[in-house]
Amino acid sequence: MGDSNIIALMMPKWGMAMASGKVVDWLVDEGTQISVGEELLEIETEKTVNVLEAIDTGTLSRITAQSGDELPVGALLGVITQGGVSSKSVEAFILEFQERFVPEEVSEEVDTAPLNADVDGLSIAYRKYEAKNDQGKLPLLFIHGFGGNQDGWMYHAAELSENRTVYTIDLPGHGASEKEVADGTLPNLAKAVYGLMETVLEPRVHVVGHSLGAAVAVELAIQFPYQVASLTLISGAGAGTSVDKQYIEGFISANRRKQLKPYMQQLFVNSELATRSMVEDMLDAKRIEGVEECLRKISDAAIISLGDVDIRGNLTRLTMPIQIIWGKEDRVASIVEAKNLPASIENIIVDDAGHMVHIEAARKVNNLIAEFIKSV
Amino acid sequence: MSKKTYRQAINEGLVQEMHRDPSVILIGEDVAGGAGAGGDVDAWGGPMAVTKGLLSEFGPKRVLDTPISEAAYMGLAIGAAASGLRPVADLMFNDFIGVCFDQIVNQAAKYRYMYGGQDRIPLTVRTMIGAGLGISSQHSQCLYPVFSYFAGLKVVIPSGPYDAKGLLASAIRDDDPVIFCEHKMLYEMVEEVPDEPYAIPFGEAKFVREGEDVTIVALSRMVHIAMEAAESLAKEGIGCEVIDPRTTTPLDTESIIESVEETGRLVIVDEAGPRCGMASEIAAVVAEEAFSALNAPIIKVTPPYTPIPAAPNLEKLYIPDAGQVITAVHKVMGRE
Repeated sequence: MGDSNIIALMMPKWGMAMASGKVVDWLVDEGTQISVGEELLEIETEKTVNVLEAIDTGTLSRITAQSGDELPVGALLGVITQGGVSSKSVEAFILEFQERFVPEEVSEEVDTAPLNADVDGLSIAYRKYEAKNDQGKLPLLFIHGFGGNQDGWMYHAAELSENRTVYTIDLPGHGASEKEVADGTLPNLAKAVYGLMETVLEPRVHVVGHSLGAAVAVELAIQFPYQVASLTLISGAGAGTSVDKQYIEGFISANRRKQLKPYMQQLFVNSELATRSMVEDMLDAKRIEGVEECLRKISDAAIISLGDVDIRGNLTRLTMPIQIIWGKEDRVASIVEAKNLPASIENIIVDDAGHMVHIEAARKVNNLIAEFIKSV
Repeated sequence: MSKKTYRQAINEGLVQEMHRDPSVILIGEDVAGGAGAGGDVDAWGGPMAVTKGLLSEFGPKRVLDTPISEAAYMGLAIGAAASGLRPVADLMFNDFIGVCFDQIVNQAAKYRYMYGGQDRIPLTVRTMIGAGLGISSQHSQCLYPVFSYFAGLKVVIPSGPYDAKGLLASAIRDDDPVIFCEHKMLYEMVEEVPDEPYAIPFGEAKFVREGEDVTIVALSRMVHIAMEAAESLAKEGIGCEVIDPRTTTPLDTESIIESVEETGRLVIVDEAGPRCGMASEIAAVVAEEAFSALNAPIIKVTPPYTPIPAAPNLEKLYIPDAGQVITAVHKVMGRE
């Protein structure tokens, strides 16, 4: 056989609650030569639709899961072969895999409930993803965007916890954190993040922030420069962007599916990614008493002004490594002056992605984060 | 967020609304539970213990135990609503509505209309529906289609704890009379329910499950029967979209039609009787507005046209089950 090899292509696990996924469509044909990073197929989960990219090079010898198939995590989707492998060996491999395959039990109760910590009298929710193989590296902290919550890091947190501990947080007024944001300004939100780091997390972390979370991350870095080892700003508001104010207002006041759906669609290039259940989850979150008021305060104090305010001045004052990742087709915080950023900042623009670039190009963004942190 | 039963979710909803608005009061038989009965005050909280603890927390001025006279206390509640309070009247079993039909149907439901919108009746009637406990035909009916007949009433049929708490908040805050139908077989059902108050708007159906082949509209407890069938049908490769209207007035026909236009097939699962019910109503709406989208006749899965038997073996036969739903889906799929 020599260099030949048979690799199983399996249903991925995106997020702790994911038990199964549905094959939407294959983007490559059986028999195609594939390389690392190539988009293989679209998979729909309870939350959204995403593309599975190849992590191996080889030939897609067999497709074993067809469009419409709903399969548990770890189930066989296809077979990739490297070098000369007889079709007989492939058949034997498939048979053996199917025979041995037992779907993993997902215990939702233990896994998905966030932890809560008291931060200056405010209950702040977070999750900890222990490093799978701890090498004493600085942990990574994810901060979500406006109206979101830490579940939005389902494609990133677990995956990036290979060598280092990963934390995700619900900002005040969001997710399972207390619905109280004081005056809703960035310094106040950053204070809560710092408070959580100080009380239960770790004093120095790499920070990844999306949208409003990116603005919070910058504020955190300004106030506590030593505590932030590096900054990854995804679709960061204020760094030469123009925030769609109508979007913010519409998003806050929508309380029915029909009203909210167009705003959720605006987050993506491919509006089909805003699934019905994603819209439903967002409505459930927005319904909680106090949420709308919190969002309004944050919007007034921190977001609407960001549309006009430029934080690039702040960025030049920071000395830690910074990278900014943009979706080229962002329709919420559209790029207007990405070019005029300080030269020391890594500036990456992702094609065919919108405001939710980290969801739309999850693997790419994960790679960017991993590579960037490694280089720090 | 924590796991709560349907019973706990409704209790928590009542407590939070009573804290939020001092004009919210409870009126009904046994709502205080045991008061004046020689036992422990606040011991029972109604036959299903849903209002347990409320008397101790809010006192006898806001939790009013009444004599066994639905006509009297429903009249009292409507009068209280007309004069500025926001009462929650507990009509233990919906079957008892016969005794206070006039108060609800001819007075409460018509009040706003008759007075040109100058006055409102912000009344919530909590009541138990459904078969399954073997407590006979006068305690087991689903009368929400009857309530839904009357313009001027809003009708809510929560199928789980999350919806129950959120819809109850909307019911109590609503300025019109609302009949809130709790299915007695759901009180032990457990689900994640936020600790904070939240209100779910009326007239917004929930897509409990998405699917491309068949739309199943299911009401109240039947949502779970439909889901059981849908999970089993998924293994055969049939994708069922399960829709829970959550309120029958207002009825979210838009979502139902949207779904049928995608699937082309409709099965309606209702525990209320087969005649003049929501199943017939939904079938009629879809036939009128989306006939050209249909690839097969609409099928209703309902109990037979008969009083509800008390004998457990007969009662079990009476209530629609997953097998009947599967048969109906096979039929609309042409796979008999």
